[in-house]
Amino acid sequence: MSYLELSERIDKVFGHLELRLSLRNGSVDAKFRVVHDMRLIEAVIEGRKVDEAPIIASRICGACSIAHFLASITAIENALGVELPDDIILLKESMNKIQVAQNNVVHLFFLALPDYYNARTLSELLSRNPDLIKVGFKLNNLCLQVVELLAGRIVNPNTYRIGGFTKKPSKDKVEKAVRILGEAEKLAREVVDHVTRLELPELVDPSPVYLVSESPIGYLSIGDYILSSTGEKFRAVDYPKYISEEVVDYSNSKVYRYNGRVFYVGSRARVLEYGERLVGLEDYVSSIVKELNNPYANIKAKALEILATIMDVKEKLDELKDRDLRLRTEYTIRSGEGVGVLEAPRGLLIHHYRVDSEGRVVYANIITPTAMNALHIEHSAMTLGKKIVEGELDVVEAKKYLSMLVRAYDPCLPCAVHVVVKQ
Amino acid sequence: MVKVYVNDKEVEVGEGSYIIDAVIKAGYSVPTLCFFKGIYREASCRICIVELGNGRLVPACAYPVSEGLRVYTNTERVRRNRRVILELILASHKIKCQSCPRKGGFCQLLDLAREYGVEGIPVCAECPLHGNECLLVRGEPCLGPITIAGCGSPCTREGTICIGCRGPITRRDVLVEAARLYKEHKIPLEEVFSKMKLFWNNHPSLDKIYNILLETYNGGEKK
Ligand code: SF4
Repeated sequence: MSYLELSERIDKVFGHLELRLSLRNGSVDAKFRVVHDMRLIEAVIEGRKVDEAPIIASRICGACSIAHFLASITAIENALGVELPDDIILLKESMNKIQVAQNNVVHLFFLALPDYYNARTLSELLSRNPDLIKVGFKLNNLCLQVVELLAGRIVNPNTYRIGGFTKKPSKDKVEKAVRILGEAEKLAREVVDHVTRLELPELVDPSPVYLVSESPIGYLSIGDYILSSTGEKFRAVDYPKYISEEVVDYSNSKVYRYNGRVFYVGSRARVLEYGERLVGLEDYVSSIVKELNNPYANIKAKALEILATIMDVKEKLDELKDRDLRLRTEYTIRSGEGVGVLEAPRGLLIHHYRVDSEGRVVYANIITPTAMNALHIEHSAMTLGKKIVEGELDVVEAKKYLSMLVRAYDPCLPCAVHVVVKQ
Repeated sequence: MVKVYVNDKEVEVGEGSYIIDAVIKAGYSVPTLCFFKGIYREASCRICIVELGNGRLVPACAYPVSEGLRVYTNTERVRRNRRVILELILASHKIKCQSCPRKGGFCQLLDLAREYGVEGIPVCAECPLHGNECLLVRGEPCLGPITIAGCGSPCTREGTICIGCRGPITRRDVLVEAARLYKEHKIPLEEVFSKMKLFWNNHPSLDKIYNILLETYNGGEKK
């Protein structure tokens, strides 16, 4: 075969996306084309007051508004030099964690799982395997209830402002959340049992370099450093030295390289880096860790994270419900520069702002996980392409595996296209 | 007994009843404001209008039933006219939600305004934070006084300012009252403007709102 071009519009992802794979005389090329319209959120944020930046940032994405909100507010807090008491950090992290769980549920059940049952759509899977999908709906609902208790509502949180929470969550609210999480934990166990046993298509990660935001303690906590699987650890504010960006003409999203290399961010990276900290889940971790060099295994990591975060948040909330919490600190407006990094559901998220002495944001830069993964997806797709060239895979199968591959990464295109080229 | 058709459904009501009795018996409803059964039946607010089979619009609370009467409670024409009536009611209503005793979401006008899409009532009407807890008292630039109500004020409920995502009220008296509030609580108007630009940047009346606020704010208190 001398020439073949596969161009797949991928469905069941957030936003519009096309994956193009061309095979020419044995050479393989893949293009991850984000065709979603430009959103230019960074330009919208520049010139605004500091307290407005997180409000706008949370509108970047409906699915992970909390991650964007928290990353943005953390960046601003760092820029203003706000020292947060432990209680605030704990609740802030819980908010992020439970959102990761909820997002993972949505991705797993409604976007990724239909592939593994040969169903084209969710409704097809629902008619064939109603019990499974009902667990998904139930779990999603339970997680959303907890999100609502912590964040005020299910999108665009309104309980938190620079310097802390507006109110102390009442005791019965927290108790209710703990109760709900207890119920969710049981369901999550079923899910993990189920998903970890799934048979995955075979593929070896072509570029096993991972970046995660550092968790000083536990899993998915918010730190000031970025860790790489090569053993390097750098301060979040130094990210421009390590992560280079590039505008490509075929896509509405930028692409990123870490020290010149293609890298991956996401659930797999998190489990590989911090999996051993998941107390009580050691069996699950050891059962999937061998598979994690397969990009498709992201769904297993995600399933595991659902259970891990639910257990974690439950424990934390249970512990703080009887305590007197300090949930607010004072801050003053001053000029400065700050970077907020955290693990969004789809991986490392970086918000970077510069603030002037009047409290206006004069520079904003947002790097989203999907944009960072763009090149990695291309490389994985090329590995699949090579299999076609070598005759291991026929074209019909390849098409299916390509869209499954993209869905395994769970890209979120509305997040990826806010970038502007700055002169 | 008299046979009446409400939205083509047949019901029987006693001699001397009014349309509203038939409507309720048939399982439908019409909004009422001034009507109080057995006490007040003057049809002065007119919000309860319904359409008869012959096309006339009559107030349901005060129009007696007759044999074979056909009544429609929710036609396009009825809704359009109720909207106008509501606008007229609101036009003569002093919208000062911050000092109204029916605050915290117990406002029938607010419910109707939401249902018929009439602007005029600000978020303060459904905000539970009036009085000492109001965010204005804390010096925060809440957009509640100039934002269309109907959201249930989820933001102020959680203690964060209203950022106006439901859109602005363009009525002059509401804006004047809001400017008075901002001034009373010493909220700098620049702060308010900055928040207004979050969601209303392209609103056609933005300049008008700016000017009214500014005028009142700088022109001293007009009661
Ligand atoms: S907090 Fe805002 S919405 Fe609530 S009463 Fe005060 S100004 Fe109105």
